[in-house]
Amino acid sequence: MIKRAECLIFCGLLASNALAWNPDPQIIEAQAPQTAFAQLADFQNAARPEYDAYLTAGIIYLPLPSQSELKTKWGTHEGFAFRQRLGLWLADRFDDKDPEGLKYGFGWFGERQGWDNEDFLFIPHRGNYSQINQIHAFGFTVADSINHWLLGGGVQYLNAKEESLRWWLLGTWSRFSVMPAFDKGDLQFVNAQLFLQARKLRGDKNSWQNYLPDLECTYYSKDSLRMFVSQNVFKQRLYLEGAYSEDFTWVAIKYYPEPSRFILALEATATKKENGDFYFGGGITLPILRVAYNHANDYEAFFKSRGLWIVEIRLAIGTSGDSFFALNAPKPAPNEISQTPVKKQEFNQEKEK
Amino acid sequence: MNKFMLFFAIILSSCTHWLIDTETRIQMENNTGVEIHNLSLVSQNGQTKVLVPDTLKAGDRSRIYEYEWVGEFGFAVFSEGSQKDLGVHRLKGGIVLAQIKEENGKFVMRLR
Repeated sequence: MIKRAECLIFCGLLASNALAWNPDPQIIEAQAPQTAFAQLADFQNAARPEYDAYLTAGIIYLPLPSQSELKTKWGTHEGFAFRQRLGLWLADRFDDKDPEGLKYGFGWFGERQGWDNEDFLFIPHRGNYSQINQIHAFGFTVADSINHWLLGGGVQYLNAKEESLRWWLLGTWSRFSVMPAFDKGDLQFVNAQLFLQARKLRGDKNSWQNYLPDLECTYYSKDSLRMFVSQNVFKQRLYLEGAYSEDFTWVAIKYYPEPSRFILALEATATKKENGDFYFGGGITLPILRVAYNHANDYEAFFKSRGLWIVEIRLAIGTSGDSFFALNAPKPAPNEISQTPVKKQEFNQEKEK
Repeated sequence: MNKFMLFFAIILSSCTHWLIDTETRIQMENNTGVEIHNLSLVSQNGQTKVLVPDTLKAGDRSRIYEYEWVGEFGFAVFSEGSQKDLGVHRLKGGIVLAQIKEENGKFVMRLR
């Protein structure tokens, strides 16, 4: 029995060995500003006026050194591409059910990513061709849940060969949110969101507005824009999504059996690369695990990887009062504790005597 | 069974480098009839990086040099004032003996 299991694992490793791709140092360095954008967009989605806390973590680990050999002018170097991230946003009085007045919050989102010639959990080896990017965002928020507004600001540290310190602002009012980020006086991007879809988590009622789209537009420069749309097509469980920018476009169909998106997400994506090639992929997301192949998000966030099975140990929980949910979800997860009636035991005094 | 569990424990701890060599200890052996020197890596644009800086007479072995080069690279060696390309080879890590010989008037390398 064990022999058969060992054989299966060996075949699996061989197959994963065949499915490999080669990042190069330029791609790894160029990933840092893209991650900086994605990290702040996550902050923007996590810190909503009606929400109380958000915790996220993720580790992408490729077990074999031949899966992500680094391509340099000398040839290909065995080693490991990796991505490790952790993030937390927490508002004060986060356990209050109906907080009145202002709520103050603090957030830190950190990511370490790159390529190292040895694999590691904590301390990288930092060999000759290792390239490790660090991207950290810190920020404070102040929000009024009753009137649905939130203001925030902070800094973002990027280290990809060269260090830089950005600063950013965040303003959210009801379904509209805007977030500009600057490097000294230079605008890096403005991310504007118009999330029209009715969300129970925000206090909206179930109505036809559940079928309004979520829109996002990111302005990098007048020549570089990114548009994103997410459209509910069935009971806030089935969505069609698409993102368009000049050099990278994808469409996706996403199914969440449960609208909190917390338990399970099934996704299929079609991606168009810079050179016009199309490819198809998909993934399954569980509360602590994500398995994906050729997924558009991994092409965008994991060094343009493709033809590679990605296994990520991950976590993403948002809370609002006593409910919890995944990022961008419209409804909270069903709260079994508050919905299950508790049978009270009658205390029989006479019997006790 | 124990080996099987150990294998998984190492994979889960993200430390497969305990099992796999991430360094190469390389030694050159001259099986040609002439003197050769400077076993080198060759880049795509023709740049060279010397791995074994020894000069070897026919039949000699070099000292051992240790590098963090594990992967697939282009090689060359120098003889009689000219660069002799040895093609692309995979360094798998660990101890490697690079045997260089002459076949049909061309220099070839075999890694053992």
